[in-house]
Amino acid sequence: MSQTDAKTMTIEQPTEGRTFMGYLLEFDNVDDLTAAAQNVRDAGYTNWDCHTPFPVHGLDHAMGAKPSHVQWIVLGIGILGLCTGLFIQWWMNAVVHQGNVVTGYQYFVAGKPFWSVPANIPVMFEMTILFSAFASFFGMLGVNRLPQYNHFTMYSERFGKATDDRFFISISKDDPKFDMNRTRDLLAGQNGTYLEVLED
Amino acid sequence: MSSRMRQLRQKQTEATRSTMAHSHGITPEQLKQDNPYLGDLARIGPLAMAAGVVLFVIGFAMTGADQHQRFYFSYIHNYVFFMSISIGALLFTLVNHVARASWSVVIRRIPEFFAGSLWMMGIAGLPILYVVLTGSVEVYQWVDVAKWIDAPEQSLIYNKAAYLNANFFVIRYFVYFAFFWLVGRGLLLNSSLKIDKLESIEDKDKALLKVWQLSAPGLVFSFLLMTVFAIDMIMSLDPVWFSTMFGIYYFAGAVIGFFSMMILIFKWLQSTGRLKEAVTVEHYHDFGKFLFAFVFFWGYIAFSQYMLIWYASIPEETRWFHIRQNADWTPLSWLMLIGHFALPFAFLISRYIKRHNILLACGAVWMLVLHWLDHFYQVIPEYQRVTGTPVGGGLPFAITDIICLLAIGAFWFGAFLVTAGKNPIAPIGDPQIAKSLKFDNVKV
Repeated sequence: MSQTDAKTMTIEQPTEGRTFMGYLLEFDNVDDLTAAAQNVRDAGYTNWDCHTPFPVHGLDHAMGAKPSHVQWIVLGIGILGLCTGLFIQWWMNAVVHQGNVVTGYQYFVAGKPFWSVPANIPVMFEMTILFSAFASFFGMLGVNRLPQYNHFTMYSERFGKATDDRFFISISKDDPKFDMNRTRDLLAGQNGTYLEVLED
Repeated sequence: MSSRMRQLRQKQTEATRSTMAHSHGITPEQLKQDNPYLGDLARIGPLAMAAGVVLFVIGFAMTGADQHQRFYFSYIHNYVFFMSISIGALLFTLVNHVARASWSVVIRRIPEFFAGSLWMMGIAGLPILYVVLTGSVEVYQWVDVAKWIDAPEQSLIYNKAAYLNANFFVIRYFVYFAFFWLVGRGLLLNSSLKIDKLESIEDKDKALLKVWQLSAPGLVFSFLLMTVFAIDMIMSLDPVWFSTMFGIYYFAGAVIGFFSMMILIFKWLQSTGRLKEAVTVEHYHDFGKFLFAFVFFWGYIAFSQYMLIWYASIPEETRWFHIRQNADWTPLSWLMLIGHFALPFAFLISRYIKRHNILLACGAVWMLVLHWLDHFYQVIPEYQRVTGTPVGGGLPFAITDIICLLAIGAFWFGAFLVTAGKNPIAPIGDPQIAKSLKFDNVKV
């Protein structure tokens, strides 16, 4: 890992009478961010995040991010879509009238049997795709706990630069390992440029 | 470009550089120490090619005259099987150039060798030209149009005769092998070897850009000629039958065969101490992803071809499937559905398996065997139809299948080794090689 020069960090102090929300540490390059992410990960924090203007390869490893659960959601819902596709075709085409109850329509098309799996596969396929697409989109939102009305980084003035040319690590006060002084010392020991105290 | 933009660009460059520092992988300088040469292995090449020819001659001579017809069907079956792998290599290299891909650079030389040796397979196909030109035994039934004069399919055969005739078959044969030589040998392999030797980075970039630009039309024509090849060699075995999806069906199988072969070749090369550090689990993971994707693509295409014919239910179209899903052939049809599609789909879906050293190789061996059986399924039932062999004897495997597999396989692999020769087996001088060596799959 290439080392960058040591930076002078500006460290804010908490204001009396305001609700403390968390820390936000600003970096001006990716190397320092990745190194700091490794240190925060090794310190055992769980309720924290990195914010970058573009995807940084290797950062998920540095953060100790575990594989997402979305794939299992997609697999399960996709199989459900497959079965749904098969079921609706069976219900609509292959089920006969039972007594007075009209249960389906037996369309007679080109001499084909009412119940024949080859004819049903395109619909099964499309339903699998549709259900999987919904599962991956909404599953992603759910796993990321989105949409959120508010997030403590929104209290920062500097945070807008996370979409431009700065990199951030945020640690929430709700983290079980969080301690006002020890967490501040950990972050102050990183090669960041500005340690912001987020307050309501 | 505004100064802010320039700053951001600078940051991104730094980000890329620092990522390289974090992830695994070696430098281009280390690659040159990573034994990127075949060395003594390349000497087997001419021997293997000669062994293939000798095996063919002895095998054909040993086969009784009554079995020559069966021999030719075996020959076509194995010929299109090995051709499919090389054509897959040609298309893979072209599509990577069109996409200007950088991840694949380190593994690109092996497909380049296959693409560069494709023209030699034109020699291996000469027995097929012989049987078409002389009509010594009945293989391609369009060779002699006159015998269809009283058949109910007469008009179908006669309308196709402008295309399906021996002279035009031979012309097409030379057209696609001339083209494969031009693109595979000239455009892909020779330019890649030339870029290795160029000194300045400007010259390398300029030469690579030219390959990128020429690859786009090259890809279009390769696809067209591959379609023609599949129609000529396999589909025309039944001159009555036609399927507009046959070219893409052959393509889907070809890509499966190609990626399975790539996985096994790199495992083999690495087990002999070559490119041990250069090719990483990230590259195998991408082979696995491609293999998985094309297993599904094959299933999609094979089913689409089946369903359209099944639904339309026109006699001249259903006859192809009618043979293949009845009597002796039923188990093989089920094996195609389950073994060539459903099982590998479920097996390769997992990231764990795609990144596992042995499990991925097992999947590759399985797919290669099933790909071979897929071509068996396409070619050999036509032998039964042409000869009117009574059904009921189980799947008609013959010793000639094994003889032709070994003969053409030895020739094909020998051609690969001869083409490789003393050349490096990774593009050590490619401008994008450093990026490829550091390639890393994002964890999701």
